[in-house]
Amino acid sequence: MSENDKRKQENINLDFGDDDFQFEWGEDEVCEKPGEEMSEDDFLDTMPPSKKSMTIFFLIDTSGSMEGTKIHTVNATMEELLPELVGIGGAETDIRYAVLTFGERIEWLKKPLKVDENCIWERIKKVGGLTPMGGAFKELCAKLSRSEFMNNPSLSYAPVIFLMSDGAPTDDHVEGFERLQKNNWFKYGLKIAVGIGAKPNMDILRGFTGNEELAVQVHNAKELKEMVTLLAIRSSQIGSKSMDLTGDGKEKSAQDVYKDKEKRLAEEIKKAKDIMSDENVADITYDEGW
Amino acid sequence: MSRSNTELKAGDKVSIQKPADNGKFTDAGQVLVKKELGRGAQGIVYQVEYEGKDYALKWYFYDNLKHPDAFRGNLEKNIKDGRPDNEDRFLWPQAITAAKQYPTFGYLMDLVPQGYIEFDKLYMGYEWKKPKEKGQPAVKETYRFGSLDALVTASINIVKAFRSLHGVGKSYQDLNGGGFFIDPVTGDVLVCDCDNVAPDGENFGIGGFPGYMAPEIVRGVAKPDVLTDRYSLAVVLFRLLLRADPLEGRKVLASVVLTEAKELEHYGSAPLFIFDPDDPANRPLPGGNAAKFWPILPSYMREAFTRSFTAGIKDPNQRIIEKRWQEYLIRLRSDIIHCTCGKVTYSTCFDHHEHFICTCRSCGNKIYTLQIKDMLAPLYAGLKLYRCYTEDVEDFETITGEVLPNKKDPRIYGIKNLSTKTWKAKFPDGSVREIPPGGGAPIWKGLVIDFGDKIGARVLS
Repeated sequence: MSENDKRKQENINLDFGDDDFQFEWGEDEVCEKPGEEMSEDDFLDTMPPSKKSMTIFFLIDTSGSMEGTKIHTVNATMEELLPELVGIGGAETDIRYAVLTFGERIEWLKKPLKVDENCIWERIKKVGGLTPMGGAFKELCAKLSRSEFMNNPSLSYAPVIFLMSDGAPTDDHVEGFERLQKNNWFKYGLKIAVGIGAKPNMDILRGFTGNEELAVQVHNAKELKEMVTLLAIRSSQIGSKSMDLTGDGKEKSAQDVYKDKEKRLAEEIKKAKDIMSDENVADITYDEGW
Repeated sequence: MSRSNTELKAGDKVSIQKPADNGKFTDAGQVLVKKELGRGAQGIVYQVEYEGKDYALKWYFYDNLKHPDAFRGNLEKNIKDGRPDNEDRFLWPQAITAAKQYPTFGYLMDLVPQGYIEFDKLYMGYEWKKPKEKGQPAVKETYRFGSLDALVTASINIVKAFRSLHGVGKSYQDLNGGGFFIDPVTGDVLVCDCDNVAPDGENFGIGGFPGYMAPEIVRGVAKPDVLTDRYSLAVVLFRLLLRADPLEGRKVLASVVLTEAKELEHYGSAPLFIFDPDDPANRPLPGGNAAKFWPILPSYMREAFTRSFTAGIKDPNQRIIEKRWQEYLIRLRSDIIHCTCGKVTYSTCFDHHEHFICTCRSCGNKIYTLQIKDMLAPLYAGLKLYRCYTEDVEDFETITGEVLPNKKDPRIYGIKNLSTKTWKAKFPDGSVREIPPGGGAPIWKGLVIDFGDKIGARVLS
């Protein structure tokens, strides 16, 4: 007796028959081998997905000439800048920062730290000595390595490398720089230089960034603060996120996107410099105003 | 002074315009700026007051708009058209600021209500908030879905919103983790940033993020449209359900540094799904979320993701349409078993030694299967039937039935009719009785229910 006949017999007047029930479990849902261990993890108590990371290196000149207002301004700027960098990498990228000072000594004031967890600036107190920029380049190069500072287990974006100096190197900067240029982290990184006051060697700073727009001279405390803040925030934003996409309909090659972020940053800095010069920030003789 | 520098401050009054009956934008009073809520590359969002109620005003950096006039025109059109399907899941533009008062412009929308969390923060599980006072450390806030049901409901709601949008011939263009908010307790969804929404095929200079964006956009050969939205939607659903990225496997991680060229390769010219059945080169790391949860996900979901990220990664027309996602996800929601021992997970985590009976691995409880239409649902106490199961409609929110213990004898479970229609069911004594709204039928091995309109359900054994 068919299922339908049975139903008729039982006088059930349901409007659906066997054909409505052709469905089966998917094969691997039923045929799971008995005893096979399956994960019992709770979908809600998973570990957070791994974050990408982006490190911003601050190379700060702490030679004798930085003494006084200059280093105070750097400290005041950094104090306010770090909290601004909290959360700037978005939900998916950790921003880390490291600080290398070069003056009497070349030392890491801070090895890479997550800015979200360490947004309180430790003030630079000691300044003095010469300007061993070449030595600082070598030290940076040594640490820009997978086995040193760039040891984040998940993906990284290329670092932002931020150089601040008010003078000219007093050591062999060429050798140090040549070494640095061969370092891939450096090569792909976003390099920015801020020359402070009237005496920085801007040629060397421009050489460091490899892009004229990204070497900026600031003449007073206000400019320093505005420029460093703007540069650090925008470079962190651009550096810690994926490239921007604008299609012109043509297939992109690796060559087309090479240094895309650097170009974008340079464009923005150019705009910002125009705005600052429009505003005509200060009339004082800059180096005297420190 | 650059136009992009035009910022508002508390106390500023900005004139706004709304479309009149003849379609022309006419003055509709002023909004009072109260405070800044946040800012991004495109502009600033302010909290404003308008006619006694608080709203959000998105205020553009004019210089950062690639085609400001076309952009404004599109925004006005969206305001005129109104929300797709009158769907309240969109934080839709409601009014635009007058053109002459400021050198730039903005639009008015509802504020995100309390309790809603941005998708990418919920995905990550936490966010760091800037310190409120100088010298204080940043504050970590953690987020978590209230239940697996809420998580799956959220995915259904996202799909529903995009189905409505695509249904009126528009595309979202810039679908990413920051574009929508989720209530982690209920799974309610709000789609924001609707200012980029444009008629399918048009684009006003919106790019996006590799990872979310369809590979053809990353490559530069296509502009955002409905089909690229569909790719992004699959990414969002994958991230939501597996808490991992569909492309971030060994091959990508081996790059170490994600340079622009590497991004182009991994997300554009040579993207490879982490579970590509034909190419294991990009498998996820063992022990990670993707590796752990993929085997637990029911096979129809795995198949849908595999198609999205293999055939669909190259051929946009192979991507899963929203209606299909909606069906899969509604099925997924009914595949969540709430066992009496407290275990809540997909039916795949239960043993299936006997056909159509799920056995809890923690307590040994046996759960029968109810077949409704072409769908199978484990029959556990608390299972809810939605209108889309018991009637021929797409309403997946209205509850029309629930599995509950009998009030007189809690040992007996039954299906209660919470709909407005009278059902018929076969009782254990062989009789067929009517189940009026509010009534119920006991669950037994031979239970058959007729919901009317040729829709039925039965217990499988």
